[in-house]
Amino acid sequence: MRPGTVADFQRSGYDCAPMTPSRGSPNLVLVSLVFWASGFASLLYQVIWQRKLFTIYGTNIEAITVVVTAFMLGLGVGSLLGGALSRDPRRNILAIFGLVELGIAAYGAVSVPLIEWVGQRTLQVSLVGAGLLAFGLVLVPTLLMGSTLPLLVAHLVRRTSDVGRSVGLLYFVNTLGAAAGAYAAVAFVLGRFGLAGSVWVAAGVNALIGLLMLVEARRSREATR
Amino acid sequence: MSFPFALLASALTGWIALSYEIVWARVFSFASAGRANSFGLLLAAYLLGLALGALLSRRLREANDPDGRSNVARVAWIVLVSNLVGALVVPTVAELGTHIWYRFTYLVVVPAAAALGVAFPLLCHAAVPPDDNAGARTAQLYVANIVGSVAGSLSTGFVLMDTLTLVQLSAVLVALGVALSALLALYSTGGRGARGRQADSGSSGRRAGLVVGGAVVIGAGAVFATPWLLDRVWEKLQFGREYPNKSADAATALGADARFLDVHESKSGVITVGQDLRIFGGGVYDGALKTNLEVGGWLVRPYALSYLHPAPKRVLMIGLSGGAWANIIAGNPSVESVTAIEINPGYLDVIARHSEVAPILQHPKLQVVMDDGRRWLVRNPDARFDLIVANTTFHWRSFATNLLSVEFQTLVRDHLAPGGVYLYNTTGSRDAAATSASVFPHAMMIINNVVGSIAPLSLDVPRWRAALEGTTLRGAPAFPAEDRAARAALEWLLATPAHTNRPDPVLGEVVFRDRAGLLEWAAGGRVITDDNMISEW
Repeated sequence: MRPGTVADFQRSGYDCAPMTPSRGSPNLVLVSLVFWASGFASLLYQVIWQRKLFTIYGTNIEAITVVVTAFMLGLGVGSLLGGALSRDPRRNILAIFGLVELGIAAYGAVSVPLIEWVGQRTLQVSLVGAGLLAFGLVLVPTLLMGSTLPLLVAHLVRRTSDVGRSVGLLYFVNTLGAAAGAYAAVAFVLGRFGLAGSVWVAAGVNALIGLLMLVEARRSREATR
Repeated sequence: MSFPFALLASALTGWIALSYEIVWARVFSFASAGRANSFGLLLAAYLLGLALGALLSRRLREANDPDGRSNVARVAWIVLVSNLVGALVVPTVAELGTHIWYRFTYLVVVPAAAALGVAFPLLCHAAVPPDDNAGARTAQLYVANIVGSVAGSLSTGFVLMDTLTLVQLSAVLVALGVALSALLALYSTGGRGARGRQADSGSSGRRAGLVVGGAVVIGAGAVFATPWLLDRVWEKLQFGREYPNKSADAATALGADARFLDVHESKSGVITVGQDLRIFGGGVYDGALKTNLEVGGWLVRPYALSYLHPAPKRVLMIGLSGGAWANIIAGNPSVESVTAIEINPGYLDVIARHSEVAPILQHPKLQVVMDDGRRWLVRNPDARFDLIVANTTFHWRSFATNLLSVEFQTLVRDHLAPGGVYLYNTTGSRDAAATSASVFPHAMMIINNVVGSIAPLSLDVPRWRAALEGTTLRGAPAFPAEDRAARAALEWLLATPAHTNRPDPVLGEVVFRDRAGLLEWAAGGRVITDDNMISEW
């Protein structure tokens, strides 16, 4: 689950951020598509990982609640991390964003066997222990996911003069992507590809985004020289 | 707007939003009978609403608001409207669902989520000035919102849903929302803070009085309207377009008053009991609170234990449900102990309220463990049983894979004592039966149940008769000589193996299928795995 409150924060937070002068216009269509796809992949992962964790630690309400809470916390802390990373104006945010996406793809690719491996060795843990393990297992990817929106928003804040409109649009497409991911997961992706196959679909999307953003970062850097 | 107050409002909006989401997840899961796609569809609708709310929030902000009070007032209005709209989601879904396919009712969530999604950006806009501290202050507001969200998830999921009914919880949420809205409105009137003192104190006082009075009227109205709005909500959600009595199924369950006999709500789910003593878990059939075998009845399955196994002493039941099967199995004379793993403690309360099954709770052979059945098996690798019974739920429900997959059936097989037998309900899934055939070298079927064993099955009708003659229910023989109906049922039961692989002339269904019959029935079925989740999608 991607809690709406997290996304709301991300949007509102950068709506409140001070504007900076324009230094060129990024490819807004590309960035919008990237944000849509990023939200889409995030929800695929979350449905898949929750499912995997529930199978290991149980499907009673207590286990479900702690797993969902772990996701929320990870996304929240990740958002703060992304905001902190974006503050240094010397950093190439697009490149960081591309690397973050590649990091999500890498974790995604190994996530199903990793969760299975950890789960098999931690079957006897208590409910609190299961919560901590779930948090640990989703911490890295949710930190990365949570950081993506602040990073890209900060990138736009640096480069456009019309921050409010751009940020609103990006948040809108990101959340639409998340909604589409949630729908696609249950409408056909999980049924067609299974858990392991679906996670590869999501990882493929993230890898494509990552590579695109690294190329865009390089192009953007050359354009500003 | 003072920042500590903004932090409190931020936390409360998070608490309320997540609480609503949890309530809606329960309602849609129930309305869909627990279908696997229910949560994903709800999430999609919720996120779509949030996206639209974000767009809307941009239009609602007051750009020229030097003292911030206009934006706080707008936040107050939004919080009020979003909570009233949020409170109307469940009654609207329930009522609409009696007229249209429930799947369309997910759209009701969209405007409600949009309204909830507007509140936080506006609050941020009202509370955080666009200066160099904007990032830090926003981060603090966000942390407060996350803390509130997590607290909402935990307190509503763990505590409120376990102590309050849906009606009560809805009333609490709407009351809290109205109270928060009133606090924000009071703030915007200038009743607090330095800016407020600049306003005329008399006018401010009148406005504050109006706000408090309005909040009390609206809050009380919403709270008192809630039971009326949610009257028969579970009946409507469960039977949908068949409500109130548009089908024989609904009519027998609800009776003339269109009400369930019993509704039990807890954090673990909603259990309903029909007027005809059928029991439903999460909006779907889960058995009946009946233990006596009737001619042509489906209770063949729990009564068949001694046909399948020479002397089942240790029995494991995965799922207790209404306790009917546990009563029958514990009444088998050769059974010495029954360990029942139940995930929903609410079933114990339901069983205790119905005399037909209540005695099982005091039965000396029965031990009930509250846990996830699969997790219990994994955590007890050395436990062995002569018989493992899983009268599980429908194969298309969410997480049914966890109790049908090849991994799970292998786990069960590893818990069988030598000569042990596994009996479980395929609920008509040919994939489940095909999966069993791949796990158990010896398998057969009883109506829709599969029987699996590592060793060849030892089927014996005379042994079965002896066991049935010794079976007791509620401390008395299950088939007493003077009870002609019970004796007729006994004789019918013992005659059913004669029609193996053919429809029973009384029941009209094939009661027993041997392995060849099973394979024929399951032809084309695919092996269910934890990964492919075939039965659910």
